[in-house]
Amino acid sequence: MRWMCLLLLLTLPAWAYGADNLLLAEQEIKAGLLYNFLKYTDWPAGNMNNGAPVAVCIFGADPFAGYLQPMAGRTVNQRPITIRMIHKIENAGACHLLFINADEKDRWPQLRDSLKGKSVLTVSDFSGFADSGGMIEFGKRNDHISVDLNIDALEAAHLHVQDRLLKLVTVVHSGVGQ
Amino acid sequence: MFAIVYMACKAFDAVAADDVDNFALSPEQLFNATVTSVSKSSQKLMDAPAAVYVLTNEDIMRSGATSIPEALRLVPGVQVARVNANSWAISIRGFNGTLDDKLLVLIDGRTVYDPLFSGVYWDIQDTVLEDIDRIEVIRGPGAALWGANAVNGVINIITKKAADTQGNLASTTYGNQDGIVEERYGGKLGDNGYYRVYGKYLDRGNERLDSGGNANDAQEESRGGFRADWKGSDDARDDFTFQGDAYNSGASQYRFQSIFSLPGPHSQLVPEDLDAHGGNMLGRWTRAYSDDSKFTLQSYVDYTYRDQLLLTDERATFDIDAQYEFPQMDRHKIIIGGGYRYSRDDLTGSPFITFTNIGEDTSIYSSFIQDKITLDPKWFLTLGSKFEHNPYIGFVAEPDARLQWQIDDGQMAWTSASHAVRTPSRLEEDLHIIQVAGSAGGPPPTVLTSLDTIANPGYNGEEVNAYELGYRKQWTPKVSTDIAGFYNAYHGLSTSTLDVPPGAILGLFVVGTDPSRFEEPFAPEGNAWAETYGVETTANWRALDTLNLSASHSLLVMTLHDNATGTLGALAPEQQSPKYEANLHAAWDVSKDVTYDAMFYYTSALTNYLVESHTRLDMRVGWRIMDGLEFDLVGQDLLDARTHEFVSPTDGHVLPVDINRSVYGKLTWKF
Repeated sequence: MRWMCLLLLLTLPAWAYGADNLLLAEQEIKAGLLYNFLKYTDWPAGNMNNGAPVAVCIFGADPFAGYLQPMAGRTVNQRPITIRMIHKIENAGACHLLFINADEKDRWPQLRDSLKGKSVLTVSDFSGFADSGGMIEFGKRNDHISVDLNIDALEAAHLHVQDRLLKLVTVVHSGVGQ
Repeated sequence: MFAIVYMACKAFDAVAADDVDNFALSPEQLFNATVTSVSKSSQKLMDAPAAVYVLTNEDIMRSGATSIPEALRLVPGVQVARVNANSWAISIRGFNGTLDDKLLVLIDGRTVYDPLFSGVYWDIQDTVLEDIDRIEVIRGPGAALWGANAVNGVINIITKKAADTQGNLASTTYGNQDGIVEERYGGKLGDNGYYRVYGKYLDRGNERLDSGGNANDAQEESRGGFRADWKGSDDARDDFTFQGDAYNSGASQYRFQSIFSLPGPHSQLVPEDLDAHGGNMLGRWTRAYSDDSKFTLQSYVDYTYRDQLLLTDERATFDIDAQYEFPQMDRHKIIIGGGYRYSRDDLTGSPFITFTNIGEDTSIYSSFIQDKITLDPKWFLTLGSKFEHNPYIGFVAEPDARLQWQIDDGQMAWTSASHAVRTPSRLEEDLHIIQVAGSAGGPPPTVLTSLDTIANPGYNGEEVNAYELGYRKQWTPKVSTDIAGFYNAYHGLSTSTLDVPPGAILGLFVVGTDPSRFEEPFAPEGNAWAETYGVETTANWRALDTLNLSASHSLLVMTLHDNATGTLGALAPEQQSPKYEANLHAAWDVSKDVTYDAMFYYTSALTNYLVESHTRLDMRVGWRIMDGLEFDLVGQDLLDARTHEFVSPTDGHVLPVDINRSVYGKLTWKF
């Protein structure tokens, strides 16, 4: 079937076959982006010890439908990644990257306040997250995943996202995270 | 043509993406990737080894349906026939009728079938449709996990969490048949919770009689309700829900009524009023112990009152259920549960119907256990059983076994064998029908007699053994199919038998001192058995980012075997359900602000009931005028000015009507 398609495609005008477009599950794309945020974010010196694991945490239930788990055991910038599920606010400070399940939206203000002064990269996908002091908010535009990045909140946490990623996201400002 | 080939090839081309390592992709590739449209909840259910279909909120809104029963037309394997403006016959895998008694229907965990006849009064099952999260339909016996009456399937209507229905939603619908006004408001409840309240008024206009006149079957209904969800104080382990509804409905229809008069006529057509009101309150507590372990406790009270020509049915129900999901233990994933239901009714008969017991208290105890055993990483065996004790037939066990083969990420095959029991309904235990003896076709009666047919309290209910086979495949991220086949064998089907003793003229017995009243014991005797088999297929193709096509087809074959002689109406169920049904739904996002839907439905003929095969076309155009304000224009059954969909043989005294073509406009304002 596939070779027939290729054959048929050869007879089509060239404009019909555009750039290769990947089709992925939403959670798969988000999991991939989390990995890239780990890769292209600089944590303050001392917060990332050489060779020590990078802690990726999920606050609340795991919404990734199994797409995030394979990241455990991989390495990023020569550090192994560990994935932890956390339910208590006081445990959140030990994470490098914290994904907040949208169902836990109610506890976000409390969680945010407890992370003040800590270099934890916060990510979620409920609307209003970046506006309320969250750092990375996943959204969806025309069947593509989009990211709003709250630059003020990142700076307040002494985190730096490299230009490679910065130019792909929408940078927003908000006073809340400062 | 090019476009179609291109799209088909793109779909196949994307197979490669299945093997993609998402952690090796560049951020550019990830941001450019297209999201496939499988919702979280449906994805979870799609992994279930059962014939499952999920109608999402978007499906419901885009279908243009103005009621829950109309929305169910899109679900494969579900037979939906509108009898008149306020009455529907809905079944899964056969035995359709307004009094269909083999379905379990739940709204947010509350059972809504009426134990009087084990069926559902669809006219009073309603809410703000925008607030429905999804409708899960499980075809086949779901007895093990779900509970009694799930002989042929479960329809599980789940409303959104209060957190997802914040703010105001006001809408008005106006058309040649329907008028609806609704308002919902959702707000915050302290720091940890949300609530919503709603009110809704609907007016379903008269349909037409086959003969052309006004069918006098309009319905007016007012309802209101609330839902609150909140989390436990400090840690989020505890979730609480408290919700309730109340409604008041008035409707009418024409009915043939017996006349106890010697010269005849022995029946006449009379208008009948249907007055119903009721309410319910439900509380639920869920405690999560870990990601895969939780405890749920749920309880509700429900009151219904329904008054019509033949009888008045008043009922209060109390129900409490608990369920515990153990964490994964080695190869075992176990869920256990138990429940108790108390129901008290008060029935008032009429000159045409009486009851052996006019008031009854019923207690039903139930429990279930289910274990999903991981045989190896790709094979799963789920064993479960429901146990129930009810006053009519005592203790019953309803076992269920399912084998699942997860071939790969996008491919799954399953098979199942289950046994389920339908509890006899209150009518089957206690009903007396009083008819005029010597009816049409027979010799004219020489004395005026009435025939009192009495239910058989010894009736043991129906049993079904069901065998299923299914296969599901995500061919590409944009193309998926789901196919399920089944074979069901039913035993002890209730039939109505006139048991005429030899030598007796009509075999009637004098009742009391009134020589004009006779009584005749009749079934349900449970001496008929039936076989059904069928295949249901669905396919979904996301043809373009802006165009989704979904199609389904179902085949249903029923054979009824009658062991008894003199059975009345035994052939009816075979011919009440269409052999073929198909539908096609095209959902097109024309632009950012305009959406368009077209839905075709095909239903084959019910020959013996003079219902012709029918092709129905519904269309909907939605226009987002500005943020929060939307206008929908919907046309239903556009190809025919009127359609005769159903005659209910189980309630044949209700006059058949034609359903009019319906066109309406709807304005929705969210603020």
